[in-house]
Amino acid sequence: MKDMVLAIAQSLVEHPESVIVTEAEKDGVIHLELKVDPDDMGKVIGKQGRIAKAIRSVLKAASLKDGKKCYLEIG
Amino acid sequence: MEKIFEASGKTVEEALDAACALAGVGLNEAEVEVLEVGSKGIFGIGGKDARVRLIVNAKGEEPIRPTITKVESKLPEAARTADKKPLKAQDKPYFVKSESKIITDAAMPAEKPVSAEPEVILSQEEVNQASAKALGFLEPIFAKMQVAPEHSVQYREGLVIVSFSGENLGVLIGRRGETLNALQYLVNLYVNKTSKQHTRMVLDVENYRASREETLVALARKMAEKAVRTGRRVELEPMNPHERRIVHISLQEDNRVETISRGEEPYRRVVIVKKGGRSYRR
Repeated sequence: MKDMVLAIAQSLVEHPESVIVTEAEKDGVIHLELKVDPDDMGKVIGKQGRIAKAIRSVLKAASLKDGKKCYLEIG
Repeated sequence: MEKIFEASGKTVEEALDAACALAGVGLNEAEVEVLEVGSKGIFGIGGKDARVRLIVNAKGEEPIRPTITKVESKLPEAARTADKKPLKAQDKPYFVKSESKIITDAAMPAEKPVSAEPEVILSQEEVNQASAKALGFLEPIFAKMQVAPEHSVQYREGLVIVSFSGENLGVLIGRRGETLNALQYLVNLYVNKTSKQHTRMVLDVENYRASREETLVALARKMAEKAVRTGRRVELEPMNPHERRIVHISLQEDNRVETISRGEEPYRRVVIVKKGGRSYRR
């Protein structure tokens, strides 16, 4: 799941090299944290969080197959 | 300071062009009101002109691009007149007839009508490049979703349409197309990240787009009947601009009702109102 979020985020930002995704599992829920270059925050959040919402939608669909909930934190 | 410009033309499209030229602004810099939709008439006789009003907020918004909509008029005349229906006008999200003061969806930047942008015709190579990019972007996602769909690419009406088919693709669509729309949005961002021109990408899975459109049209008709029968306004559930447009267009010819969009994105929804009914107030 981490790799997928990393791939998506790297495709959207100007500085793919500074994208970091960390993954931690707590109580059966996967917590992902996405960090990007400060200049790129807008590229992963979008107007009114539209991009963030889209990434979370995709993540939700992908995590259905794993049967595990994923939670994505950006920042 | 607000400035108001009014203009008319054979279609809403042309009226908007004229108004933009008059005001010296692009469509996305002004608020648009469609005053009169206009009609073609039969064989060019008895047609009524469309009228629009632009409200330009002159509060220091600098970028003035008076030529933005000009390209449109270079389209072959045949394309405009070939169809009996006002083809260009139908491309737009408006629906109000005569003298109404409703601000249409066209005023929302997110719903800027397709045809307002200069039409760029892509070469086969550019279409291939765009779709290859899209597929590259989607690959790791498909891997995680454990799907391996076949794809085909079409280029139609300025849209690069990538269609997928295969087994168990429901996961790609999601509830009410949520996943598919999210993927499509991200793909559009990615494909257009570096390029100057904007390539519009559409993702489709097993003809979902067409069947959703059918569903929406059927729903719109049903709800229009309900509005007529009960005289009450019927609010549909929130939809994205594209879906609202389908609803508006499907009821455009039904002169018993009027459709408006209300609320803010992403909860903006279509409301169907019976003309002359109890809830029909101006």
